[in-house]
Amino acid sequence: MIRIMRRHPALCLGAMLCGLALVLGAIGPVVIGGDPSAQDLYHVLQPPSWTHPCGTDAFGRDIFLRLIYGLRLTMYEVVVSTACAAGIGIPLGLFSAMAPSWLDRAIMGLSDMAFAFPGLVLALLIVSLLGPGLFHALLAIAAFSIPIYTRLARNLTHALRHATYIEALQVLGASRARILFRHMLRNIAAPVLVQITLGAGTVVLSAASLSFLGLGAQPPMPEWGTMMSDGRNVLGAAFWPCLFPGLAIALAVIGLNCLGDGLREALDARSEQS
Amino acid sequence: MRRSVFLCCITAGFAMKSAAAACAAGLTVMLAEPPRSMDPADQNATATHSILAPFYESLVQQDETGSIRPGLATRWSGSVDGRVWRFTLRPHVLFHDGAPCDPEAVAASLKRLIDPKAGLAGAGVFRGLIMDVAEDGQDVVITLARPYADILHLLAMTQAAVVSPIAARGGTLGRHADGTGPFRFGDWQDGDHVRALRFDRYWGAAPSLDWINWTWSPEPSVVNMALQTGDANVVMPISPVFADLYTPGRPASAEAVVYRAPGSALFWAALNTRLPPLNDPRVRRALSLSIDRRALVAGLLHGNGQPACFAITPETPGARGCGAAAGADIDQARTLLEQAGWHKGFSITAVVQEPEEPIAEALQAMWRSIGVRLVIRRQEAGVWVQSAFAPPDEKKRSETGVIISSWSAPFVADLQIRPLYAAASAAPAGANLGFYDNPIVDAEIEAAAGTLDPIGRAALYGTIQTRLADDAPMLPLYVQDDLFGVRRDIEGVTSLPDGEIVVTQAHRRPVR
Amino acid sequence: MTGVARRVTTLLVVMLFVSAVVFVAIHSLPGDPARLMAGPQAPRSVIDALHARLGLDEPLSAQYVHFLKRALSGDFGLSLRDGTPVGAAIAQRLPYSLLLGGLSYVLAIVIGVPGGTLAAVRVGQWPDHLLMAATLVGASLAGFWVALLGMEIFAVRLHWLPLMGAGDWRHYILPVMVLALMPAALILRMTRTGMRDVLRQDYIRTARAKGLPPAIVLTRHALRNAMVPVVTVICLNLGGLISGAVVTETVFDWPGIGRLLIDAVRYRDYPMIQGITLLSILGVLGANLVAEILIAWLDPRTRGN
Repeated sequence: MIRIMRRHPALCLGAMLCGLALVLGAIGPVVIGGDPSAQDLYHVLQPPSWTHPCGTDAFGRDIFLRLIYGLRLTMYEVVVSTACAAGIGIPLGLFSAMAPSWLDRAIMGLSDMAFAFPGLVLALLIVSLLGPGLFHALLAIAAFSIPIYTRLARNLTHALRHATYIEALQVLGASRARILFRHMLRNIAAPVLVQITLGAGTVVLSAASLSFLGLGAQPPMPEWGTMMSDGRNVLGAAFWPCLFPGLAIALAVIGLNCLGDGLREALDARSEQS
Repeated sequence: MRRSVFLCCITAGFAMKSAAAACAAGLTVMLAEPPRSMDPADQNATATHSILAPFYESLVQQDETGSIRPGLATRWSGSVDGRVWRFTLRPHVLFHDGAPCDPEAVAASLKRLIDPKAGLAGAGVFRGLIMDVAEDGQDVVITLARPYADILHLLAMTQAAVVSPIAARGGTLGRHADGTGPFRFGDWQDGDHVRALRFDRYWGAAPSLDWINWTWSPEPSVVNMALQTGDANVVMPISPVFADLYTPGRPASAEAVVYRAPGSALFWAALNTRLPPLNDPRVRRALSLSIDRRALVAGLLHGNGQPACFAITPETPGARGCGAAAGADIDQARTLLEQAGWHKGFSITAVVQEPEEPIAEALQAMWRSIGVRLVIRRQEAGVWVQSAFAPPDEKKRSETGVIISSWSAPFVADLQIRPLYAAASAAPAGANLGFYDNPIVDAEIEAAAGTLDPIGRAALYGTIQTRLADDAPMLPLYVQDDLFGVRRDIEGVTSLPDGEIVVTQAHRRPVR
Repeated sequence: MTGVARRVTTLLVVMLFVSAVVFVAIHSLPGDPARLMAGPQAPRSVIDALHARLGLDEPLSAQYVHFLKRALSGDFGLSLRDGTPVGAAIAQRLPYSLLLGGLSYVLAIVIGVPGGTLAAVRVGQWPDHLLMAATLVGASLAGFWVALLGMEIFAVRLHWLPLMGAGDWRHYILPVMVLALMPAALILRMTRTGMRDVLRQDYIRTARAKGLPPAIVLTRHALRNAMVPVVTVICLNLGGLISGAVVTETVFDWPGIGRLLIDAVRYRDYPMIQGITLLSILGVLGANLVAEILIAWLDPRTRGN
């Protein structure tokens, strides 16, 4: 255990932060209790104190409590957005790699074009089209993350296709689907996992950006990006409504990035050893 | 352009007297949004009014107490039936392009405003009311379609400002202002500034400023910081949350002063009277009773405003205060809901723009206490107007029950009531967003508008207000004070009740 | 050269396709700019007159044909909000965005390339760990949060820097730093990876074995090849830079096209949204083209095909 920690400090830090987030998000609201939407308009913008560790916001709500409840929303964001992006992107990439070369080129060309498209501009258009709301924002984020997964899955599969053992399997008469799902998917799983972890960090940041522009979560959801966006309206009179949600986002993203980076390094090290 | 301002301030900072005097020349004012147009008749925005005011003048002007003062007209009189108004023009007034401001030019300007072919955005209240404009010697004669007691207040509005006939014909007004005001148009750089320069051939007293630089930022915190750092000499509006920073003794008070003027923008929640259960007046009254308006003023405005329970704003003749009704009466509200058969509660949807979103969030929490669940749809300006002004069937489809916004028509009770409550102004035709339809109120609105005697009119408006409060098609919430910040070295800045900032008379405090 | 010509043709075809998609998408956005201009008091007749004046009463296909015809002659229509020609408004704002973006890329390269080289040379030692940790944090922070804290600290509390807007050089410091954060982290990591790979190559070992000074080996041989992934990142990340610019320009009240876009979306200024979206796509596709050509020039191995 200690050896792992010494060799992969980033991985451990990431795993710790993510684990902490999971635990807090799962049991935090149950243990702490309280209502994250309870307002007290006569005591707004109270600075941090023992009763309110992160102060209160412009409606007199406890920011700490909202951050804890917001963890669940952040997890929801990551799961929905990543599931959509990877769920479409990876099969598309696999298909592209196995498809005839003209189709492969066409799919990859389209995907590169979509990747080049400024993500936020695309998200802006999608959210404006569907109407503001967290779910729509997540769809928009997923939309501009798809090409990343497509490209990754396609390149990995493409490289594997000519690997000796796959060719051997083909000669042995294994079905295409069997090769694809049994062998290829298993082999690309590790790099895809790394990408999902790193992508999750991007999802959190992008969701915060969209909420900051007023296109994300709708009130009174304790969504971190929205909280920070609300906080910016009082910056100068009170720093805590902006500081703490920003810190929470930063910690979550650092955790995810550490985990992803650490995983990649660990995998690289393993492949170098073999 | 900004660089010269910056250099100026540096030199002034070193207290070189001559340099400071040279710097006393200009003023930078920061607003919340950019101008919509340089054509006064083609816009309806308070911030734009502020920017256009130094360029343009109207026949008459309205001061901060609501009295009408001479503008381009020195005298005026109305016929006994209140339909024909004669204005005698001030002689020797020039437009910035050198054209004389004669009766012909004034008539052409007003005709342009109401011309359907021109399709001007600010024509709203004028078209249909003004029937004809004619010149008669040094006079301009305006004929109205019906008697209208508050016509002078309408003519004082920025939309009715007199524009140069040459510029109007040339079609350049949208980008290049051309009026008779004490300042002429300098330049307008999109996303950066509008600059006004002193007009040397102005008919009246010359202003002490050489130029006014208008900038804007949608971020309230940025506006506040700009005031503290001196990036702006004047800011309007400053968000209520920052007003306390400038109370004497706190660090920011050394830099600037925040002035408070009673505002005229009434914030309200309109209820869709066609959508069950909001079609039941008892439900609507219950919603109104469960609102703690005092808490709204304390929390959202940090005390900078007054609770509002009636349709007419405080500065207008005939207005009524809240009294004890400013607080919530949850028990009474519950009883009403029970009588209406909705004691189990229900769910409604509100559409709101970003600036008013906090109101929705506060109402959401308050209504929760009587079992009403409010779903908030925050929309961008362009989308919001469409859903707010949607006809009944569309609102029913989208289940829009509540529309939150504000309305400002200082001193003119008719403009505070008719567009919001008359059956004829039901959306999409007008701003009666909840489709309130009460023939008795309609008749009383007509009667009040045609009553020229101020006391009789105030009494009529009193009756209307009580009726509206009982029926509760719209829930008045509060009137927000106008807050504006001025750096310590600037004097002579005032504001008008419609939220316009007036800086034409501003000057730098002499260097000690 | 024929390769370049073919790619330019592809780019034009793609642009035509994209312009149609963008046009339809933008015009199906909910919202009504005429109602917004006329204000809440306006009667129906005023709105209808405005619709006619703005050309919004025509069918969509006719509006697209009009748009395409005019766009080909460089006319992108008039802003619905204030009547300025879209082309002129963009041309006036573009230099601000280009300068901001350009400077932040310069800063990102100035930090990223030497930093990445250092990390690659000292792999596994403390400078490497420190730099990697810094890039990890740098890439994890929300740009606008850093911007807001920077404004609060450096402009309001310390009065060192101006708050916002564009003006003299001091106005650039905060926005450039905020915008450079993400690309700097990315470039540093790419340089490090690229450098590590190159340093393991045989020809570098040969150069070293020949007794060339390490500095020469590094700058003349290794860096050039390690630049391939860096150029790729810079050009391919242009989309990311545009996204970052939208947020950064909004926070800093920067008179660039990012803020122009946000304002245009808010007010449903169709021609403006269209112009900016198309321009940014053209920019990104153009950058990809440049990237391909540059990489071909930098990396002799790809020159053959």
